[in-house]
Amino acid sequence: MNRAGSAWWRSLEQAADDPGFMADACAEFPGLARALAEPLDRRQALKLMAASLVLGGLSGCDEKFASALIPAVRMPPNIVPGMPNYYATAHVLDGYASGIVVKQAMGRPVKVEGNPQHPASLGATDVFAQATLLDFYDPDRAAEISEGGLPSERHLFSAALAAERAAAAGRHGAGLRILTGTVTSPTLTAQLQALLRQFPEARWIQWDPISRDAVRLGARLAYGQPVDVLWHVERADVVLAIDSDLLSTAPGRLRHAREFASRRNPSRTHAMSRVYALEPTPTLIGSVADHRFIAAPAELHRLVSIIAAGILQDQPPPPDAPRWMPALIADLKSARGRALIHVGADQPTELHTLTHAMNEALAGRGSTFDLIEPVAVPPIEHANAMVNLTSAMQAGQVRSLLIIDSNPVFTAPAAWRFGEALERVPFSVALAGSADETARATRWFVPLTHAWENWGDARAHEGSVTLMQPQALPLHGGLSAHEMLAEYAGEPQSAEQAVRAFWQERFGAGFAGAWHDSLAAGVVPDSASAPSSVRLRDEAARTALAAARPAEGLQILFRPDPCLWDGRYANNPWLQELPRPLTKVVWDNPLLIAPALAQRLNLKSGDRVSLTVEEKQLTAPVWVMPGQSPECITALLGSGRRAGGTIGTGQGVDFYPLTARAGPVSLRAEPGRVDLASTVHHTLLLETPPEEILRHGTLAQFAANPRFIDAGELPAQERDEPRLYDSAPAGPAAWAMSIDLNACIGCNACVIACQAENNIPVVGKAQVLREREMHWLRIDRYLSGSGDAPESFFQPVMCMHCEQAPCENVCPVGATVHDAEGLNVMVYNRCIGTRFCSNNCPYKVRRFNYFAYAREQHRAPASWNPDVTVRARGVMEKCTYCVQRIAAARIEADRGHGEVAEPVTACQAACPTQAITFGNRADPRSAVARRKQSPLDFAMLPTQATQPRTTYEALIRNPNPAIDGSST
Amino acid sequence: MSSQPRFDDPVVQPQLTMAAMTDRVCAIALRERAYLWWWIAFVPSLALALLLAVSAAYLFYAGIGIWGVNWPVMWGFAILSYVWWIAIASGGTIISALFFLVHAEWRDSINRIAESMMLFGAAAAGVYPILHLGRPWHFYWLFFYPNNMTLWAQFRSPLLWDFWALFTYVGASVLFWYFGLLPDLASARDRAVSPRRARIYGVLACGFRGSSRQWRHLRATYAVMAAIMTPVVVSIHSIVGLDFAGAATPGWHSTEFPPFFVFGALLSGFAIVLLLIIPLRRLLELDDMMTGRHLEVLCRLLLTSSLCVAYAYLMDAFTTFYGGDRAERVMFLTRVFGDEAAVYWGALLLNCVLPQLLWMRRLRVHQPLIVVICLGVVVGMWLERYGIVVYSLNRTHLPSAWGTYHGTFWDWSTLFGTVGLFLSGILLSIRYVPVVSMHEMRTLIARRAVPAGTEAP
Amino acid sequence: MTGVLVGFDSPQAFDHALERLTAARVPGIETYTPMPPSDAPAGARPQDSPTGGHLLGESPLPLAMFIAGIVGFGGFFWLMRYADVAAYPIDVGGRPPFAWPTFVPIAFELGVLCAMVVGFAGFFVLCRMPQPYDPVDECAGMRRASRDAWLVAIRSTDPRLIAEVRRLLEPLAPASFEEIPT
Repeated sequence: MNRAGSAWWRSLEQAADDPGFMADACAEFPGLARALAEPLDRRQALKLMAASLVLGGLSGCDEKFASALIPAVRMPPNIVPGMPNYYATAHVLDGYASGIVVKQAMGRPVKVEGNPQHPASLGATDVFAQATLLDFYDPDRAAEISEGGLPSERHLFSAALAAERAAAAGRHGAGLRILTGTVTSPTLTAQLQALLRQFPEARWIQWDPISRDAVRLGARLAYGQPVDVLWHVERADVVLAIDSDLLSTAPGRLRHAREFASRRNPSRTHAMSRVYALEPTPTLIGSVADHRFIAAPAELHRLVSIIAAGILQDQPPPPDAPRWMPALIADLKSARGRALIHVGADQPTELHTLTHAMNEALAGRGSTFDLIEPVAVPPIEHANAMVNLTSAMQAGQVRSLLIIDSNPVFTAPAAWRFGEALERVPFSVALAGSADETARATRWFVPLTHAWENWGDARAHEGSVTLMQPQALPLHGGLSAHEMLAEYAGEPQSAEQAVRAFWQERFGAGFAGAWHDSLAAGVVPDSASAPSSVRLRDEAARTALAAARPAEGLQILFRPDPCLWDGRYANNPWLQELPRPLTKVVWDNPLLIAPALAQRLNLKSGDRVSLTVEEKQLTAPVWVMPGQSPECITALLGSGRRAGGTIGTGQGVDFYPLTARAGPVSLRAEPGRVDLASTVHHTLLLETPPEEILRHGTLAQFAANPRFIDAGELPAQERDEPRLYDSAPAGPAAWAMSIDLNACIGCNACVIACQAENNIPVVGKAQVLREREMHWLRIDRYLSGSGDAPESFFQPVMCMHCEQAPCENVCPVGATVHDAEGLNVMVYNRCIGTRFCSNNCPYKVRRFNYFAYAREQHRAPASWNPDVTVRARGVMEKCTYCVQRIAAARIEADRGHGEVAEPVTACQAACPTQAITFGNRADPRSAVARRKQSPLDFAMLPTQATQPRTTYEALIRNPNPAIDGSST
Repeated sequence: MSSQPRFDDPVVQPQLTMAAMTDRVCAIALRERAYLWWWIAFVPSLALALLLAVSAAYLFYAGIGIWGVNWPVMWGFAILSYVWWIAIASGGTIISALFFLVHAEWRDSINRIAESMMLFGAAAAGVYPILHLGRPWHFYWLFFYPNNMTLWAQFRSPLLWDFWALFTYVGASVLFWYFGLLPDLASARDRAVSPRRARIYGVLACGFRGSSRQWRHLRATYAVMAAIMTPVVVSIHSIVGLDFAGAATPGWHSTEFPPFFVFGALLSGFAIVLLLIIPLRRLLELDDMMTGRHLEVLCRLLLTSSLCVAYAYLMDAFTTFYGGDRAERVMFLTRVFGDEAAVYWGALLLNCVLPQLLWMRRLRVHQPLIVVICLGVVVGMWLERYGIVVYSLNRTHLPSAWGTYHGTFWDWSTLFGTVGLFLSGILLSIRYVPVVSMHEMRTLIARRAVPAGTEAP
Repeated sequence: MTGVLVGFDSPQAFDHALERLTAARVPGIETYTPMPPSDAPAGARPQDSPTGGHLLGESPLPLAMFIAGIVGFGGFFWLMRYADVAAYPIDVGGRPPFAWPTFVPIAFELGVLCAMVVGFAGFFVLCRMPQPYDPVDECAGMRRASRDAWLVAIRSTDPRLIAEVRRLLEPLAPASFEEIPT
């Protein structure tokens, strides 16, 4: 009846003859029953009218909050006021799950942490998982079912669906299509397969704009059947990353990053790995590789076939091969059994097949990689399926189309004309979180409950299943995919029922225990995919890279935006304002072009160009990208949403219209510029980062003298030398941080984790253009060498918590002072905003609230971290080492749980590579104390004599001695 | 009666008598109707002052964000204009106080103008420290007063020194100015025809009659006050210099800043005084007490301080490379050869090169030229501060924190607003306050009257 | 009648008048001059004369200002030390709490301010200012005291003394000779 109640004002007549409603009305208003019994006169009619209207409002509240409003006389179980609760679930991106733990304050989610027990997370998170928080509270999320753009009713939809089902049943499901993204959820799979059994003629299409078809098809081509490859990066001594997404977008990237980092710091690892990158456009792994070779796509295919020939047929490289080729091949071969070659999903199928052959030839199987039964559910050819679907729709063969959490109208290549085809589908339903492009084009739009609002399950890259439990009651109502399919199948059941039902039979007898344990742990024990013993097909080794098209002019590469993915996060202000790892651009997706190309076309970053692929032409700003191949340009997908919500709509350029086009690419300079906001306000290409800022060297130097970084004429950290002021804070603990530059891959997880934990406001593009971004933690990127093939350095920078803090001396009111444990504390209430502290900070880590940024956030109050002050206008702010977490740890200790437990800062917790270590330096057993003993330990700007508590471990690269310094 | 000034003019024309001088100066203050030119100058000045009020109001409403300051460059127009104004005010004090101590006769006829300049320069400067705060309504936290949280100010901060130096300087200036004004207020009182004016000046004069007792204490106290004001003015500008020298920022962290800033103060002070007396001696027909001698002396001082500033620039460049700090070098080279090098070279040209014309004796009394040079210096000094404040913050240690800076409309409106405040104040003081220190002029004239009197240089 | 006010046009005549009066030991002498008499040319040096001392002695104010300055400096220096060391010691940039060099500038400035205020206030106290009215104001000659007249006033109600003064000053041809009303 609630529906009727809340919908009273909309459908008067319908509610009036709803018996349930009347009964309820009588229950709530005793007088009403009598009034109804008597023949109605005008007065009573009016009474009834008034009563019902009131009731409408009441039951409106009822619906949402009945189960949430618990009288305080007895607290709900597990909730201690002021103490957080943590519930495990998973963050799912394109089907693959990564375990997370959601921190809740008084029952509302406030922060996302990684789940250490989850194989794909190991306690770390990526930027998307962190930012899910804002998505959950997104004010643009849809609340109402609508038909043809007009608000409608759940029951009306059910009725329509029932009718459609009946019709479909008559046709054995002919003309019924279900479109989803990549599905790994066992429950959803079961439901879908049940549905397909029910409607034999129906078809289920999986499709994601960020395609991994080449990976799956390449594996099938190599092994004759679908298999997934599980990479063990930590076992690889030599890695060849061919346009690789190993660390950036591949499923399991967090685990890959962890394993990658475990072999990169020579002061800890027994043998440092050596990483070669061969790529047309800069990637994360390319930026941290020891050797980075730039090759345009066509050239890249040629080079790979040469390498393959060298490895598979022992052919020496032809004379026209690059100088480094022999050394590379030799290195790979000599590392037999410990070598690993990885190819990115954007490379063609044959290249993948060939790589599998090479990896097998290098005897990597069993050590550097394993084969497992595929995690994603077949069919594996997504793109083709989508094309077929579209043509079927065009042909009018599709009667009803159910689109579940996918946005093809925006993301499908314009060449396929999905949008037009959709108009020819009589009954189309979009189940989507917000009224996106697809939801506006379909006949019916049903709001999709957020992953945190409903039950579900999903599998990690290696197959382990996570049972996803709701974190909160639905904020807006809506349906989950499970509920939608159940309803379509004709036996409506809630998502919880569906998931429980599936696992009931899976767990069998010990269900209760297993169910509880799986929820608590965030992963179902031994649910990983079974290893596959299938052997390589002999043809694989003979795969010809026929696909290697001759280089004809310019080529265009499409990559997911590092922050917006395929566009689904476009409405997330945190991600929009997150500096892209390699360009530091925010709120935009300029076309990446090589310096050489820019010079040829006389372009500067921000200049507009008109880009034509086949006949399709659009204009976009360019960004000069050092290390990009001049023969190709890179377009980041996901921006330029047409219906992306208040934040995302119209932000940036939409490149989907150009995808899936084979024709020639032409680039022409256009008049005019676009103001691109970047957090690097001064384009810099240093000869090499100054020694006093970032120290680095080679493994050879390190082997010769582990302390070689101190050998420079710069005074080594004056830690041991006498100083004018020598008053180190004498507290029980000495909080300190060590950042391993060898581990940092610049992935930004720490930046956004810091933003989420510390209530850091988003300021918007205009303010970033005025150089007023607020991130407490930034990742500086230095480039050295030529702009065509630079060497890249990442350096996370946050407050160093100097013992001799320059900022403190110059504050006239003592708003920033030192505490006994060495924290450089910022007293917001005391700050009057003279901003002298920032001027005197050599590291420039302080941020100022020039406007009331926090107040201007369109953000649910519930989403702020209750433990952190929200800063007012005119106040300085900066990294606090997550003082609130330190305090929590201290309180724990005071409550008699032994000595202060090591607090973990937000950035440290999120970091996939454990580059950041924080703790009590005074305790010799602490990790940070041990790290600071590393011979690579150095302080930034030591000549400033600030005695920073945060120090770095110098970046060591392991170049192949046989290859001279100049890459490419 | 206006005659071309000559460099060999006496410090006061011999035919001028005490009575005539007193009557004429009082007449200016006692005019019933202001001059036409006064209104022409005053109305736009007042309009600018109102612009300041509007800018400040909007600033308080909207926040510091309306200015151009940003993440790397957290100080901008507010601080550099503050320094600029303080320098102008300090110049006035130097003329009035220092040259009183050395018995420079030429000082007697222009010290009142110099003091007004000091007063309203300090007022214009005093506006900024408050506006500049992120939360101006909490400015009083800079005072140290007992409070129930036993929170005190942070005495290590040069900014706090600066606040108190300004506080002292403004206070002391007002006392010094008013103290020296007492006998002239008495003169005005005695000359006033309208009883209203007589009563007003009478109240202000507090019953000063020129009794021997009053003269004795006034003279002794005034001498000590002058002896105090001289170090105070040096101290405030040194402390302003310490605001920068006290920071570890490249381009600021230099021990030469305190004297450097004092040189700048002298330069701009002399320039503004010249800019004031050159029109006034004509408009107020005071050219027999503000003679070519005054122009000549002031020009020589202008030249001298210009040479001092040039020396400071030289040392700035020298220490940068002698010190061998990378960041320091990068910052300096950007300032000198970067995109906006014009600011540096402009300052160099206007502050150091142009004034060199004054080596020529003839030009030291060539009024149009002097005006041009002085205007150049005023602009040049502002550019110098712009270079120091902005470019140092643009190029700090970490290349990742390099930035750019541009003033916004509100930056400029505030700056011109303070100019309006300054001019309005000066014009009002010219209108109602005896524009020449009459009692000191009388002493001068009397001493001149006796043939035996020897002229002090 | 509470005395006479005798005006002269030249400081020289004024000097002679003073010499004669002091030589004759005339009590209650006060002068009103357009400039400090001591700065007057041609050596009006009454202080050399036996009784002139009371006219132009040393002023105690400079000493008072000096003391005020010292006290102000010391007081504020102590206050800052108290605040940083005793009242609420805080670790600021790892510097010692008693960072005395940094206390000097503020102590200096405030000490100086004290001196200025004391000098200013002291002047008003010692000169009994503000003094809006004095019988001598009734004399027309006073209007010229702030211009170019050199006036000597003898405060006395004794007609014989007044006659004596008249006798002494007549030969100097005073510009004005007025009686000071009550």
